[in-house]
Amino acid sequence: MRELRLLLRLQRVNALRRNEIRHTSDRRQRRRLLWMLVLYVVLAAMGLFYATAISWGIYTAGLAAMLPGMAITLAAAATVMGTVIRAQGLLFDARGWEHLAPLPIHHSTVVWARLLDLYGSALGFCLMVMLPATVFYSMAEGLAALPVWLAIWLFTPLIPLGLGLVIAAGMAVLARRFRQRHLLVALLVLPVTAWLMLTLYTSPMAGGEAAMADMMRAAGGTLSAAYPPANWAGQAVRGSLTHLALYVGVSLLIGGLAAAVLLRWSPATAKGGAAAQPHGMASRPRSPLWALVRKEWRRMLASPLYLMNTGMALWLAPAMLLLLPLVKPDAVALLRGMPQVMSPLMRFLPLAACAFAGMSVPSAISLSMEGKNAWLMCTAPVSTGTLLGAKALFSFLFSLVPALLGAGLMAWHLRPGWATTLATLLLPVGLCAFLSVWGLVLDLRFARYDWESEQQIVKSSAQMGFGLLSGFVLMALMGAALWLAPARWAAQVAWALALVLMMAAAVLMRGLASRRVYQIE
Amino acid sequence: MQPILDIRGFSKSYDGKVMAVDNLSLTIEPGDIYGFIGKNGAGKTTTLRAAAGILRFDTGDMLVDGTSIKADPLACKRKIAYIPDNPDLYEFLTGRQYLDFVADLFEIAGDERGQRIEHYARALDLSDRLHDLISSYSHGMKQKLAMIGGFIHRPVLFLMDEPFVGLDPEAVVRVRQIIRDFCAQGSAVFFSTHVLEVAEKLCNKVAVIKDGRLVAAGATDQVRGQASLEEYFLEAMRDA
Repeated sequence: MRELRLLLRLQRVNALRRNEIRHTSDRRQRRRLLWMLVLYVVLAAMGLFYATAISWGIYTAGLAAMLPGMAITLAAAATVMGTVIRAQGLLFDARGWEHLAPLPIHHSTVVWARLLDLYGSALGFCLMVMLPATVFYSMAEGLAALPVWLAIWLFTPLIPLGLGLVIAAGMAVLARRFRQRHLLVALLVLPVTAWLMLTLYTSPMAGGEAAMADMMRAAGGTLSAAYPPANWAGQAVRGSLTHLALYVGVSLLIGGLAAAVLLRWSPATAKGGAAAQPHGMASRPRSPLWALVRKEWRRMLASPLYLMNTGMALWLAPAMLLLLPLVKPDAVALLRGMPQVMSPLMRFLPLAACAFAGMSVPSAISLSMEGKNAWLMCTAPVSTGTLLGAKALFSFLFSLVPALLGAGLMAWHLRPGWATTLATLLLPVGLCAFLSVWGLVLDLRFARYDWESEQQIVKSSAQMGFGLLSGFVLMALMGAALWLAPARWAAQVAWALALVLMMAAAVLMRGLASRRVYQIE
Repeated sequence: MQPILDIRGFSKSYDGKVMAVDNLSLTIEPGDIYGFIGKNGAGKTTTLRAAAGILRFDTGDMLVDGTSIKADPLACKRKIAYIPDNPDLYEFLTGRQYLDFVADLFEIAGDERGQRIEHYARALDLSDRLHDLISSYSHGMKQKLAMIGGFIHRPVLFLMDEPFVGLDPEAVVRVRQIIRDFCAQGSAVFFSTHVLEVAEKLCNKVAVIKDGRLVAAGATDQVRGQASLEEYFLEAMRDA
């Protein structure tokens, strides 16, 4: 027990990087960490705001009875995602175990400490989503169910934790067997995510022009059907002790099973680094620029975190648009039959084509991702322009392909006029170009190479946060410009926006080429 | 004869307070195998990094084959190879992919690179593992791979920070021979080491540094005199 407490304290001491903030003597580093802390707070506030807005919407629609099911399903989805991401580093990264392996601690204690860490953060996720639902539900139905809500909150993380661990373990097993494993995992996860999102987005269309309440009921029904325990929790909140017992029992069973499997199967054995297959000696020489671009591509494929966090969102749009005829064959016909939807959709179609590209900026961390390998870039006999140009070019190409594919599919489904089609194709080009270079500007500002885990850069770096924020702000500004433009000139405004973005990218790139990077101070 | 590396009054301080290296001047001629010895924190790595063009400095200059590293770092980097004390390589690449990447950066033609890779990989007993991921390599194997990456573009100056750490005895012998062959062709190697026995056997010249200041530099025999290099070094650390 004492060992477990010590391990938990060790894990807790640097939560939110606060120990580093306290003790670093490097002012720049402290500033960077403080900015990150601000970002964490902003993200948590945004999450709470979204959860409150959804709960308030359901409450004002008079559907408070749906709140438990909706909140628990969303909390479970957030927990599964959080667990898959965190478990990769906490449980299945052998480097994390090497520090502890020589210590006189049983490996089951380490597993318990890590599981409790995951459970603790899952409780936090669940609280963020469930608290507003509890408040609005209590406002509608009274305070009698509060103890049940509390019990449900404590048990809600267990099932998604178990599912998340199964997925994370599956990814670790793949990691042992395949060299391009992360690409394989992404290819497996992508259609599932796209299908889930399509199901959620298209379910309110079931009744055509149905009322708001019907749409919510339909969405709620889809969510609850996707996650039956949420239904049991809903019944429990309404007073069914049998359903409460069922929910708690199944949660304990699945959570306990996952823990038992992990305790028996040492996660340390999930070490990566598959043996490579011989590939023949011949290799075609490439220019330094293309050698660097190719290296960026391989870097991304080698890292599940990097690939999933910067690549998944980009490919969601084309994947969803490809799956649309299968999931909802009449969706396009339904849309076309709604002129009040089609008119604004046509105006904002170029922006819709950019939606996922704006959420992903690989270049915002590509400098920092060099990490301890940065010395190789320091000694490379190539100019800063080539080094940064390769990173910008990779980021541009990487985001452009899915963005253009998505834009093309949108145009194919909706058949807008030639001007809007051109705008739908041009605006993503401009956005991808600008964000690819802007990401480098951010990474140059916040670059750090002394990280121990990729998670520090990919998931919790200031540059990544600001990259995403920049994408959102840019989308909002472009949306405002399209909204303010006269409807018949919207396409031409989108062309102009694309041109401005491309020119801004070129100007920024010229400025960057004269900078000195990868040089130790 | 133009020196391959001419360090002129090089000084470097961190945060404007700690003087890591103070007014260091050193000349490395073609064919030199130059050992750089000193205690931990003496300024060896700082000097090597500055010579490799990855560390900014304000005072003094360093000329690589007549070109200032400050004025034209790119031209110098084309003539230099550098390996740090802990060669962190791209673990997501195979050994061969890494070497091809380096060869692409230095624009080495296909046939030539193939021959050089084969030659050095055989010499360092790494041929069988070139198609494995670097993440599966031991420290010594990474060190060997980094060395091949350095030799592949035939630099005029090879800077090595503790090149023998992590190498097995057989590899140490092989590396010593490769360095001798390399320098016999007119290039030079400048390396830091704590292994005085290796320095004594391998280097025709040595420089001794203490607290950022040069204590002695020149032909190994002259520096150590009648004593062994180890005895001389211990004495110098006490006296200086």
